[in-house]
Amino acid sequence: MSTRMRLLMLAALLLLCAATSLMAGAHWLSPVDIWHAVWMPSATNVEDLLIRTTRISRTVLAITVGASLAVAGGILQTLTHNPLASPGILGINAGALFVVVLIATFGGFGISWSPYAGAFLGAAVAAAIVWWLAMHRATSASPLRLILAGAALAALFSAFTQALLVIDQQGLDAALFWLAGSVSGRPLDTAWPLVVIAAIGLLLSAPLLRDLNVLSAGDTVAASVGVRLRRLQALAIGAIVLLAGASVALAGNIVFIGLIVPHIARRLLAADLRVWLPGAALLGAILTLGADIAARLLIQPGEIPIGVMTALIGAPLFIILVRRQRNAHV
Amino acid sequence: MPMSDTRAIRFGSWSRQFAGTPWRRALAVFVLAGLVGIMGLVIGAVKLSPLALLDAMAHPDSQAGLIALQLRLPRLLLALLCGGTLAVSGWIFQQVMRNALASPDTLGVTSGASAAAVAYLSYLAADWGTTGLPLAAMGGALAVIAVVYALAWRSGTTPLRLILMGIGMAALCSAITTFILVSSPLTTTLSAYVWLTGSVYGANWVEVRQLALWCAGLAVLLVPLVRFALLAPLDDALAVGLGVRVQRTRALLTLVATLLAGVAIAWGGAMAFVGLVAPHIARQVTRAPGVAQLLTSAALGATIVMLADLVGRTLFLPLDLPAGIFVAAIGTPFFLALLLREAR
Repeated sequence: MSTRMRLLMLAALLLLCAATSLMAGAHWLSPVDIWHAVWMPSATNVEDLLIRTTRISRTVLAITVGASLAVAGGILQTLTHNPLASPGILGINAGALFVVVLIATFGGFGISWSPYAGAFLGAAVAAAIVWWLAMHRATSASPLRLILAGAALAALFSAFTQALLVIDQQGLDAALFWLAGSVSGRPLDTAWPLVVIAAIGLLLSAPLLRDLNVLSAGDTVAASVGVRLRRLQALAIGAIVLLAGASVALAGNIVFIGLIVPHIARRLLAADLRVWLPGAALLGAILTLGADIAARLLIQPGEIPIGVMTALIGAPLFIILVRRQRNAHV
Repeated sequence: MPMSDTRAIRFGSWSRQFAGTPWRRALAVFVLAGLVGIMGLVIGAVKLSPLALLDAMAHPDSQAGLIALQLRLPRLLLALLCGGTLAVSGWIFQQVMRNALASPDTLGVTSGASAAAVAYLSYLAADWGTTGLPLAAMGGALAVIAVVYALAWRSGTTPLRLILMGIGMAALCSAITTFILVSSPLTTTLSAYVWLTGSVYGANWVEVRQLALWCAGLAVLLVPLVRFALLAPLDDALAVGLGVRVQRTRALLTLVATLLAGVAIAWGGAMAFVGLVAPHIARQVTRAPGVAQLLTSAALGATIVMLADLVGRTLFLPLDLPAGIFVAAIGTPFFLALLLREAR
């Protein structure tokens, strides 16, 4: 099967998942209901309201967050030449989470959107530190050292977050579900600016694909064929901040998508970044949607946080991936 | 290192060679730990001068004696034991896995212990009280390392495969922990959350005695294994050539390190970041691998947790914050600085 066909199949699978996501839940709906809700909604019909107020926004958020995290992870892995890099492991998500919780603890300064802006600020600060570390003589040479530094950074930010939540115990209950990662209870009519920002991040990374692909052959190779390294890195980091910041602001802490999806995409599609990175966006969206559907259905009437679900799905995938590696080093 | 710096100690047929520099530096770290320990006894909501401290030691029934001996000392000792044990555990893991990333955290031990402990706090503590908590935490730690080992086994294990499996299992266990936290009522969530952060709040002599007994037992177990831990960073083939049963010693050392981390987490909560940081700093301080390095990491781990607890209970008075918060806050900057300096 050609890679183009595989990409098309992934896109079809995504559409299928999205349709399932609109139908599935404690209250199952038929495709007819969805058709009705999308094209001729009525304000008194319960099914229409359910679809328009919760199901659609959940579906859109899951797709946005999954695609953003997968692309951010893929770009980070390429930039740092490190297969273990991801916004989660390098502390970018933890930085964003910390600033969100910090601002929320102080009541958001009375501005409703200030925690969201905080997510981008936190992601930007953490990404700047990671970039500085990645450029540093000590860490650029050794991938392991970069991961080590990132892990320490993540531990630092999550310790600060824990401190805030231990002090402000009222905030803990509200923050916990969201800290676990969730796309529920966030209607689109307030969350749409974040979806737009994530989309901008995705669009911004599209023109970088060609240069990033060359970069996977190594920094020196890329520089010698005329890639402007610094500019590429700055733009890519910018895209990562937008993508990671938006996903944390939208859905809190969702693990494993950024780490695992790029690996699966490379395996499934091709070594060419121009193919696998868009594929990773599709796959990330599919996995996150699948996790969200499972999160809704598994323990009714309750709900599992989607971040828990992605870990429950992602960890076994990761383990299988490592076990199948016939590489002598692993 | 010049040869004149090494000394030999002989007792009859027993002899050991000691390199001077690492031991001198280890001694300096021990002095530092002692100073931080004294600070921990002296500083607090009620300040005691060093003289008053001596006086309090002599009169345990006075008010100062009560504060120093019944409140501060057990807490300090618990912090010391937890920090030291975690650091030793991390040091063994880093030696055995030949990887600076190895630690109770990355191998899933911490997450396994946490998941089991949080499950215990949420589902069983109401009926059985909290006495079973340490056992639950240790059971969780052992169960996870067993699974990690089994998953990484393919006619033998390799360090990197163990670590990667550990990362996977750690994520799985923390997902379970999060789920339990989210689905249980707020009161249990709060106590579980503080426990997860890592705290020696409200330590008493009974806890200290229990933990000390475990530590002593594990230390006895560790002594004959230390030489293998020192050989572990060698290539497998080379170690076999030296007469080491590689797979068996690796499994034994992993077991001991897991138990060490397990007991520390059982009594002090999940502050296992120490296990990553302290051995790293110790390696920078002593340079040469050896027993001096092992002792230095133990002392450094103890120092970090004691200092973290001191900061946590004094800096934000009247709040008494969990030590685990400041473990990362104190450890990370040092760690990053060392990591960047290490370059050459």
